[in-house]
Order: sequence, then C-alpha cells, then structure tokens
Amino acid sequence: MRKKGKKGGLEPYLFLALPLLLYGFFIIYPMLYSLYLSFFDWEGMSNKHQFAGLGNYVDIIRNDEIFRISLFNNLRWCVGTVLLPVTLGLLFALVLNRKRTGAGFLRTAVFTPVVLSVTAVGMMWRWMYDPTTGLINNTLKWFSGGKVTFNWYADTGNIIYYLIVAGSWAYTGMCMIMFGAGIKSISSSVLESAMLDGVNGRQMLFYIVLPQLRNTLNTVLIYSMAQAFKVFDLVYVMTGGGPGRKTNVLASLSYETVFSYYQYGRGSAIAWILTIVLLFISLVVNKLISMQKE
Amino acid sequence: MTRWKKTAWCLLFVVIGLIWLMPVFYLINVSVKPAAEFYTQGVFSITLHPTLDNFAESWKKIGTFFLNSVVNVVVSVPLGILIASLGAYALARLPMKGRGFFVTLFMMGMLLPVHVTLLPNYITLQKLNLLNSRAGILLLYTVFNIPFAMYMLQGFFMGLSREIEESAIIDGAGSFQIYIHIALPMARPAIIISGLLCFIAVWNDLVFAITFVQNNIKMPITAGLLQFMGEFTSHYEKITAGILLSALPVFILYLFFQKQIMEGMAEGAVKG
Repeated sequence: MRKKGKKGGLEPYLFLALPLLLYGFFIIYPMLYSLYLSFFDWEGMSNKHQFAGLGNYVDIIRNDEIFRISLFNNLRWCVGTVLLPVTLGLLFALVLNRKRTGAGFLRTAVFTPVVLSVTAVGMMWRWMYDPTTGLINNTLKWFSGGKVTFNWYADTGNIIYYLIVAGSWAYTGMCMIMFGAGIKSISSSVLESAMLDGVNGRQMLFYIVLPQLRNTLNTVLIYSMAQAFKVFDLVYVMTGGGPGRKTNVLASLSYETVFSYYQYGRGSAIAWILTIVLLFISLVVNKLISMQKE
Repeated sequence: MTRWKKTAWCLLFVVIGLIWLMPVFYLINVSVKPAAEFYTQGVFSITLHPTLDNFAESWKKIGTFFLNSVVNVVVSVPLGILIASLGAYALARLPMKGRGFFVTLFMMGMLLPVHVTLLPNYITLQKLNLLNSRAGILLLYTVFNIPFAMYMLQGFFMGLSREIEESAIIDGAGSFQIYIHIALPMARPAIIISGLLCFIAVWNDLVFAITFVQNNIKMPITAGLLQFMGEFTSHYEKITAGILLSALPVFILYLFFQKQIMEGMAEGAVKG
C-alpha cells in the first residue's frame, strides 16, 4: 500500500526509469556530446580530434560569410512570419470566431497545409513557382497574354523570400488556431457586459478583444520566432540551400557542414549557436511576459 | 439585409478557402491527367479524361517507402506513448524528490532543435551497428515521441480528480495497478490526441529519414519521395500522384479528427 504523502520512496523512480533512460541516452547525452564536439576540430572520416577551445565559434562568427547569410535568412524568416502567417492567422481567427455558414470550410482549408508533410509542401511550391509548368507563372502569362512572366530562380537574392511565402502558406493555420484558442478563453461575461453597454463591433475589437489577446500574442510570437529559427525541411526540399549556398538557414548550414563537408566540430558549433538563439528567444520573451504581469 | 450579409460572408469564406487550397487542386488536376494528355495539352489545362493510372504507376515506385512509414508509425507511436505515460503518471501523481527538475528536463526536449542531436545519434547508431536499419530508426522515432506525449499526458493526469484513485488505494491497490487499471483507461482522450500528433510527426519527418536511413529498402516515405522526384524530373503527372499518395494517411486522419488535432497542436505550441 502506498504511504501517503511520504516523499522519496523508490516507486516513482521505477516509473520514470525507462523514459528517463531513453530520453537521457538519445536526447540529453547527444546534446552534451554535441557541445563537447563543438570545441574540437574534427574532420569526420579521420579520427583526429584536436582541441580548439572556442576556435570554431570565433571563426564562424568572424569569418564565415555563409553563416552570416544563413543567420540573416533566419531573421528574414522571423520578420516574414510575423508579417504573413501571424497577421493572417489573427485575421482568420477573428473573422471565423463567430458562427457563420462557411466558416468551418475556410478553417479546414487554411489548416490543411499544417498537417501535410513539409516535404510535400516544398515539392508542391517548387512546382507552383516553376517557370514552365508552374501555376503562378502560367496564370500570369494567361492574364497578361504572355507579357508578364516570372522566374523564381532568376534573382538569387530573392529566392529566400519565395521560400518564406511557401512556409507561410503552411504555417498560417497554426497561428489561426493558437489565436482561436486565445479568443475562446476570453470570458464571455466580459463580452456580454460590453454588449449591454452598447459597444459597437470596432470598439469591441480594439478595446476588448485585442487587449485581452495580449498574452496569446506573446505566446504566438515566441513560438513563431522559434519555428522560424528551426526551419530546415522546406529549405532542404526546395533549394538544398543553393544556389551558391545562399538560401541556407542555420539548421541547414549545420546539417550541410556535418553531413556534406564532414566538419563535425564546426557543424556542432553551428547547431549550438542555433540552440543558444532559441534559448535566448524563450528567455527574453518569457521575461517580457512576467514584466507585464507585475 | 442580414440574409444578404450572411450570404456575402459565406461566399467570401468559400472563395478564400478555394484560393488557399489552389496548390492542392492544381496538384490533383495534374495527377489524374493521362500521360498522353499531359504531353499534348500541357500541364496547365483542366484534365478532360481523369485516370488513376498515375497513382498505380507511382505506387510501384514508392509503395515500399509508404509501407516503411506505416511500420514506423505503427510501432513507434504506441510504444513512445506507453513509455511516456509511465513517466507522466509518476510526475503527475506520485510524490517524489526532484519532480520539478524532471519536468523541466523533459520539457527541454520540446524546445531544443533536433539538429544538436543528429551527429551524436548518428555516431551512436553507427557504433551499435543500427545505421540504415529498421530497428535504429524505430528506436529514434519512439524516443522522440516521448517529450510531447509526456507533456500532454502529464497535464491530463494532473487534471483528473483523485477520488477514484484514493478509493482504490483504500482497497489496497498498488501504484502500478492504479496506473494500469484506472489512470491509463481514463486518459483515453489525451492518449488519442498524443497518438494523432505523434503519427503526424513521424509520418511527416524528413530529418531522421535522410540522416539515418540511406538504404533504399528501409527509407521512409518523405525521403523516398524526394528520391523519386530526383529520378523522374519531367514526369510531373507521376510525381504529383506520389505526393498525393504520401499525404493520404495524414489527410484521412485530419478529416476524422480535425478537432483533436487542432486542439493538440494549439496546446503543444503553448509550451513548445
């Protein structure tokens, strides 16, 4: 029989043993090992480790042009995510909040790309952008009688924005449901008393709903920024980081460095820079939230 | 007036929804196009004689990959959830030292990028001789299902009323019996949500698929699809059929469990 309230019995640890063992061996240990590796020069294939201290980090931050491009691409992705999916998601959530005919269809449509694999989404959009067979170019040609054409691969500098648009298509539904959950949690008594006071729709939106959504907005922003830094699949599928490695993001750069260039130490350091950025995002925004509560 | 407004909103919703799904419709239109029509009419035309031939053709190429993914999901999802539920129950219900530490530890798994773990796990699997093997990828999928499932189940167990469990304790049941006979059956809604989301995550995974399985025979569907696309660059009608086939299982789940999937994703994101 369980002894009530007594702490430190063996039983809970028996329950925890298996999950903890697996988690420790395949998630915690790898993280620490990766951190350890990031302090070494290690060209995979050979067995020569050479301790480099912070050498990898310093070299990456100071001299690596591709790293800078990747980091900026992640930042662009962050900004793009706030401009497109977060904004659109909020709009959709607000409009679809009231029960209207057709709302269910739109919600289903917008959320569909969220459950599709990013591999499928990436292939689909490569195909949307394709100059000869793509939907976008052909529609432009059709409406303009062949005068306006579009080649997404023509200007290397712009390709990343096309990736962000494809990613936004797949991510808007996620923002929509997060905002939707937030709107639902606004207590109905607040809304009812506002209605009794004769508040009109616009006042309701700007003075009641949006201020109450502030915490939700924080959550969506922190989550979306983290997602924007974790991006990998879409880049891998649509461009493989090319042309000229210019569409890389941190995750794909780390992957490429380890598995194509076999620079194990350097690749691990890039993965850890990404981890630090993510920790920073979650800590800073958490702080903002707690400051607000004071 | 109100009826007009209602119709206008409805129309707007439907039009935006259709535009939103345009890439999918475009894909479907090409995938049912007979090869002959594809070459004479081009891609950009409405298919006149729809056929399922392309699906049959591409199934020959990606069928194996598809079935590999089925195995991955069927094994790793229930196993991962079962293992997670043990930990979740302990953290939610059993008094212990260091509870807060363990909760934070498992939560970290949802925040951190998988990319930090790729190389070390690659080395580990190599040492265990599990690279390119079914056992290796199954092991990883199982483990990486744990953090999310644990988070969901722990939240659920904490919200359960203790009354039933307490009467079971009085009847002399041990913790393990209570976990098996009372807690797990009651956790069905949370288990379903975790199962759906883990299914989607494993089915859609690309990173593990390309990293740990270079072997054709054991490749999951995502990686297999990419390879298929590389081989048949100009046969768009077959590639599109392949993309649609690969999305089918998840799409069916989505049609049946839309509410649970949305709920689970929204909740997971809040802590993710």
